[in-house]
Amino acid sequence: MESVKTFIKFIAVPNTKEIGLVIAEDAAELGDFEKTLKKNGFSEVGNAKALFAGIAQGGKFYSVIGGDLPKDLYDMLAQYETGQVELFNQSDMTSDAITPDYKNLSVMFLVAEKTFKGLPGAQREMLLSIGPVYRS
Amino acid sequence: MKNTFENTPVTNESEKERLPIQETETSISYLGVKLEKAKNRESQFVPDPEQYKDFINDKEIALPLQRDIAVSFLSGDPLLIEGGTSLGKTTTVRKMCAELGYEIHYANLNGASDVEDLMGRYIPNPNKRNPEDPEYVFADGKVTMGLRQEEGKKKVIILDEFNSAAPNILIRLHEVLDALERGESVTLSEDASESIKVNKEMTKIVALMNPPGKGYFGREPIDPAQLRRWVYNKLPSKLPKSTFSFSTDALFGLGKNLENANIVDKDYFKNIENALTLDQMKEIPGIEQILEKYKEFHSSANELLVNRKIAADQPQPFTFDDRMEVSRVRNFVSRFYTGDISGTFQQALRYYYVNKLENATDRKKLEEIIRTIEWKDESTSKRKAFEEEEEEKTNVGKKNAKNSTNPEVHDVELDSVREKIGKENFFGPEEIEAAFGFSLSKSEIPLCPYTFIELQEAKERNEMLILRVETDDDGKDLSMEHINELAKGRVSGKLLYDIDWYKDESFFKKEKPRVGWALVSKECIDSSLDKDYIEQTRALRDSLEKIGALSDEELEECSDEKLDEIKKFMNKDYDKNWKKAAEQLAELAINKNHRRTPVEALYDFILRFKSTEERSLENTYDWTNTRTSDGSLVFVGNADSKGAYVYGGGPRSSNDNLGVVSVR
Repeated sequence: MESVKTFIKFIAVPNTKEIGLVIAEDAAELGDFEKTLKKNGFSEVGNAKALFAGIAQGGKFYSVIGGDLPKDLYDMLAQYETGQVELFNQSDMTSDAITPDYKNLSVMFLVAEKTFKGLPGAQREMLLSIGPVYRS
Repeated sequence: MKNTFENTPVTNESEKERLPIQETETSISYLGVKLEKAKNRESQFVPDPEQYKDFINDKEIALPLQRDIAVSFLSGDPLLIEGGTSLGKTTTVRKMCAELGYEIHYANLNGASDVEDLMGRYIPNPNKRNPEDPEYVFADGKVTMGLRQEEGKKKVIILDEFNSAAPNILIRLHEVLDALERGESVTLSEDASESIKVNKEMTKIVALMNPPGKGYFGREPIDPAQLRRWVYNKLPSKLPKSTFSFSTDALFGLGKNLENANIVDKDYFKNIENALTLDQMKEIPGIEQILEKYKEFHSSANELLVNRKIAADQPQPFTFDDRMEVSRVRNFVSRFYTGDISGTFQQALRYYYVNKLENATDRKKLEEIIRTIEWKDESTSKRKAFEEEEEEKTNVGKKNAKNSTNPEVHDVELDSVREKIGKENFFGPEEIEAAFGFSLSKSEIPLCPYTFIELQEAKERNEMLILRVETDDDGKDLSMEHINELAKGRVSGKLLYDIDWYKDESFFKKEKPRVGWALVSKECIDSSLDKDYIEQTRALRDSLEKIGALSDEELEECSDEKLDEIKKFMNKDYDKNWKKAAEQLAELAINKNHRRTPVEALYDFILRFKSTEERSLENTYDWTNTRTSDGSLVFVGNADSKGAYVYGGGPRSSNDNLGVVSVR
């Protein structure tokens, strides 16, 4: 029950409504986790727009939090388990809303410990919206 | 304010208790507060009722909250709900809107600093066709979208994390609230030419906030002058001890008089594949004992939080919610119990409690308590059945992994991948169609195995990402011969200069590209030029080793010692030994896996040329890993407008325009 593979198995169970978070010890371990995720059928999404498209279509997705957690990604995280996700596009001022089909969705965020600790306090509040958390 | 109970069709108290939420074709009553459904619910912003089938209508929080929201909707007064982090405030509002057919317009104010995102701004006119059309047009923001009235529609604006809002945003929002209260228009200072007539019958505003307090990041108590604009509803974050114990037991199917608990979440178990049912859960050996220990753990964890013994340095005020955390742990157990109830509980508590703490010392404190949550299993009678179910779960997992080839996933993946590597370095399905004239079905496109970090590094290394396929849409192998045929009419001039000497060679007629994504250097590695095949191999090794692209086995096989051995053997009697040396070199894993074959060199060339008009290897040759029928090693290049040249050479050859292109 201790490994990241077990955690992935948990997140990948159909109907998991929560987004999982993996906090890696360092960048090297984060890379290893990514490889494990890819082997387990997860695709990486690079921004909120891509994650939104992924949620709309179904599948297994993960996103790596780099130096910052973009506001639109934070908003999606806050909404994910509420049954509806809205994404606002600031450039053309349009909004789209989708209904996640949890039976066909698994979403996970990855972050290195140092990066996480460096996030501004407002962004670290993601822990309030996140579901299960794995630490190595 | 109207008497909100007077319209209810419920006629007596017992009936009201039995059916707390009553629905008719045109209305829904929440604990007696009756709301009309929207006449027009056709909108992407109306949540789907199916999503809320497993919503728990407990009488402690969920039902009273829905009643209060219903009162607010009925009166048109804006509602401010303050409550713990995981009480499901947003979900409750969305659930009601799903039932009522109301649109939701959601704005999270945490980190938001731009009033114009909420109220609108001028943007370049997306519909500009003629010179007289305006350059810029005003576009609504998240809040103004919710304020606009549309026939038959009702809209709810959710302002989430309200007390994290910047002061300028609060001021602007209060102007909106004042206008709604007076039934006036909201003047858009962002667009001086317009004002929006607002109507609180049509637009409802619900603000949500976590409690302010010591340790909260950016959260301040709302000042009384602001608070007066709202109907303020503070939810309890703690249940009375006896209620907590009762509801925890109920969630695990234990305890008496469950029918009075109003925990109507049996649908939850119907909706979760392979989860244990409530009946199965209460049969788990040791469940009652473990549950008592869990309750103690939950209380202790919250005590530590309240007294700032843990999570003192975290920006947010942490609470482990009396309902939601228990519910999450219950869900975990229902899915993952495999016979070891102690281990299952302990793992759930790590995921949902311990790992959310940022400080390692804090985590250690909770971990110590977790170790006490233990039950000695003296019976194994139930295990077998559950283990069988676990095996089924594993199979479901495998099935889902196969579903990762779900065709529509690729569009999302490919867009992200293209963005990371750079459009000019990406050669996928569209580029294949442009080069060869056939399209791929989605199922033929494998998932890209590279992480975004690897793709960014590849871009910096001047590598391109290429999707290689082995057959065309008729199933014909993409040999050099066939690619050369396909190129006729697609490439001006010739693709291959003169094929006479190798037209019957296997590498020309039979070999096809290896299927999958590959990161390929656009040109030969600089350090590999003007070197023989062995020294090229060394240069290739050093280049790839730096970025960790070689496996231990690959590295070991091409160590300096091993390469020197081959060199010694080759030079001992070159005329006699060169073919054997060429064979040994071609068989090295680094060359098999990280050099191209001749057909791949040609395939990559045409893909890049057709998409970007850039010629790879215009003045250089790439020495491949493939041998001709007489044993020499094939190189391809000098791909100018006359066509690419193909030659073979012994491993001791070298030239300042002969190098190796790396593949990984």
